[in-house]
Amino acid sequence: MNKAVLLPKLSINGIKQNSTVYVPYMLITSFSVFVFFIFSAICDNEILYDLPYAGYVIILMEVGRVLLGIILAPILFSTHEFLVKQRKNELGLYNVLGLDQKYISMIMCLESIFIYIATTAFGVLVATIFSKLIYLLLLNISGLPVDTEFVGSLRSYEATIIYFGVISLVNLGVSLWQIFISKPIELLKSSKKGEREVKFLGFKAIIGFLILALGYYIALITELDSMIFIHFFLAVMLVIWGTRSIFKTGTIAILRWMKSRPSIYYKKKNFVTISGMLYRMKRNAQGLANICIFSTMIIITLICTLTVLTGEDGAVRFNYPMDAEYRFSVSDFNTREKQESFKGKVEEIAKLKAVKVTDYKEFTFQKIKAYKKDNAFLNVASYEENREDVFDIRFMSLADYNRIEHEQQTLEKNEVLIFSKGKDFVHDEVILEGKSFKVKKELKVFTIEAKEERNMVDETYYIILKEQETIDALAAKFSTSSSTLSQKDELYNIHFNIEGTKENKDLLIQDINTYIDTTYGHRSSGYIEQWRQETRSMNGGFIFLGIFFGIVFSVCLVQMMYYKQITEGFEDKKSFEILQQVGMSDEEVKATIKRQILIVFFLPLIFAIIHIIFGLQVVKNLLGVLNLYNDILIYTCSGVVIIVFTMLYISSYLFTAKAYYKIVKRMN
Amino acid sequence: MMALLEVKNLNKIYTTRFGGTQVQALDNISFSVEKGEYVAIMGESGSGKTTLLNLLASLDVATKGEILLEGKSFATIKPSARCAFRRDHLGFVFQDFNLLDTFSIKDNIILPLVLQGEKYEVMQKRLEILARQLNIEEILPKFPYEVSGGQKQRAAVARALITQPKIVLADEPTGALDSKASNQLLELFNEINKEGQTIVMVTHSTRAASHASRVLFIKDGNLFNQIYRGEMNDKEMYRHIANTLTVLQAGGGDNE
Repeated sequence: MNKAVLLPKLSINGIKQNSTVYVPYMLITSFSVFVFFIFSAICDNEILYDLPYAGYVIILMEVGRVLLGIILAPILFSTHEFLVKQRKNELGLYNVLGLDQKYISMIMCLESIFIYIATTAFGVLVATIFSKLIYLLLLNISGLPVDTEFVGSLRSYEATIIYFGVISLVNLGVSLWQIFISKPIELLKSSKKGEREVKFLGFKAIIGFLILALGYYIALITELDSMIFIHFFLAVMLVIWGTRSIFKTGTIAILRWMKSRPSIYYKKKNFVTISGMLYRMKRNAQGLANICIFSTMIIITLICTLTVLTGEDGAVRFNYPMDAEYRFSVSDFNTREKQESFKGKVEEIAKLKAVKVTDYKEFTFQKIKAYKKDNAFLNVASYEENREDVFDIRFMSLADYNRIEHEQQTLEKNEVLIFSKGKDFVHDEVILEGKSFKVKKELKVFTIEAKEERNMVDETYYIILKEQETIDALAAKFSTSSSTLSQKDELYNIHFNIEGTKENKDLLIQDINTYIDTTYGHRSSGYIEQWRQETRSMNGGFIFLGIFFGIVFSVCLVQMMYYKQITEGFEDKKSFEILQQVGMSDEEVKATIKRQILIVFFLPLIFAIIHIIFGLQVVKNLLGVLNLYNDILIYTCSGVVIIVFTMLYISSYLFTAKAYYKIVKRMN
Repeated sequence: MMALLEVKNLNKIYTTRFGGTQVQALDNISFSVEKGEYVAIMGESGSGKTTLLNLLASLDVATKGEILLEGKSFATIKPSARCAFRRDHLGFVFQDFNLLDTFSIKDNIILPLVLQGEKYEVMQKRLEILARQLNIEEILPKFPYEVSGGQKQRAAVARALITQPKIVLADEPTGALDSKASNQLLELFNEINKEGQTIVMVTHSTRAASHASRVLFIKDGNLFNQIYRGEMNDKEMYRHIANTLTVLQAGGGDNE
């Protein structure tokens, strides 16, 4: 037969005959193409750039594309490695039968080209069909107008074709290199040697355990401060390292211990399992550790995604306990007349727009910055410490406080009420620039502010004093330096809630804002729905990323399980044949396989769940960055995610175990 | 006295996968093996000797006829019990040893006992005796890939013997060994046979067969001839077998 016919035929045949390994590889590659193309298409869609509130989404999508580029490459490389290993025998046979290495290389090239074209075409085709739909999904969960046009860009095709072209080239290079360095006889014969014994096992196991414990410790003590991301990554790295190390050493140590006890080892149900696991424990451990790490990643991604998705309302309310707020400089807004006229205007517009303004709260505070040391607040000018210890202090009069809270608190001249937005103040006494005050009560609830003890990003203290004169004197004391940082600022605040349809509420705020532009002394304003939209745009981007990466990680997980099962299936095939000849019944073989797979597959899941339990503290703090402080919600989401994931895990276990059975099952 | 193993009118017909043609692998074979006998079955490739061994090993089921072990017909054994039957009554030695790479030599040998659920002390005791007898005490802790072919085959023999089977079935046991290791193995077979172990060995090595007390020749699924050792020594036996094989190959069969 002509070589021009034979070689393509051999390559196609090679793919067909090894469909157990090729089909999943091609599916994963197509899937990667699909995901990559979708992200590229979204990033390259220029219309998105003109949308209001789309800034966060664009940034997150760009981040997603880069992350995908980083994550997909090693996954495709490792998947391909399995392939090469499986094919070595066949190619060795061709070589022995007299097919030159040159032609073998050509077969490999043809194969790579064929797979590349097929997977890229398929992935891009499916992605093109679904990109519009997925784009709409993104717009929808980000609260962006869904009627925005979607324009496919040639650039995304280009990027996809180039990216996967490079990956295919690298993979082809690896195959060729593997074939050229090995002799035909080596290609034919796979090594039967067991792995070498691990030295210093106990010592290494303890080190691994300590690393993991340190990772857990960091995860547990970490607080919601500016170091949170660094701590998070540190904990993640340590846990990954510790997991790898413990899987490697710990499992071997346990297996060895079991092997050393005849009463355990020489039992029908343990014998084959223990020796089989020990035989390839190192490689096995690596696979298991990876499965564990991916499972953990998936669970954490999904917990965050689900919490962000369901916790939006709480997160938005955290910044806006009341629907709308307006601030004015007291110096410009100091007459009762002006205040009344503003209130009148608000009510007038409200009537016009068919909404009801409720809980109208007006109050004044003196805002200064102070350096906090234990229970003392000091003038910032006198300290050059880092900014972390500098806090916002708002002095408020008791009269204002009692009015907005509908309370009848009383204070002596040297007494204060204190409210902290973040961590509790705790002390019984507060020293303000050298002057001591007794803390009569630390307030835990405040209508105009939400409190969250874990919040260390936005730490503001409200200090309520009896007389305005004292407040003014104190504010003056704190703002003696010339730096703008220490300038005192006296503000008149108006907070209120609105009842009505969202549309009408928006109209009310719109009109008030127009009116305010003509009013003197307006400093700032805020409206919950506007903030909600911003939050949703950002959260929507996160949710979209979470969903996609959750899927990508899951696909990787299934792929790892599948390839692990089938490589072991091929390895174990002969062993189970021998076992049956020696007198192991079909049922016993099945039971042994079941047991082996069960241990091997549920160990990572159990470890992943332990990781999650310890990691939840960090997750909670990370979500705190997005103002998600609802612990009950986070725990509920975690529970739901773990249950759903376990179900998915079990079904992928069943699916891959089936592949294993199919290979191991006797051929007669 | 009842024969240990009786084969009566054994037929095996293979049907190709898509129906169509049928291949008669065994055609009405009958013979019996007495306790303590050492029987070699010879024949060319494709003569049906592997089919016969598979039937004797209860790995396959006959189309017609029956096999009786101590008067008990294989056909009466339920498929689910076949495995346990094989484990308890038969020992196997294969051409390519079939040792498990995941087990040490020791664990490979006692594997059948573990599957039987035997006590560890019993395993240990039987292993000690066998290991001494087969001279493999040193390699017990090693793994199959760390020892020579001859040692592997002796380990495989030990594994076959450890259940104290009624019959040892050997399939080309010298096929993968060099001549020195082959001779050692054949001597070992003689030794265990002398101690009363019944052996049925399939081979196409004249040398291997010349050690047996009786040789059956199979051609095209038929029992062609058999030679009893009687008073012959190994050399005479060898010549006799070689002559018979020449006749066999020259075409003295009914099917020519």
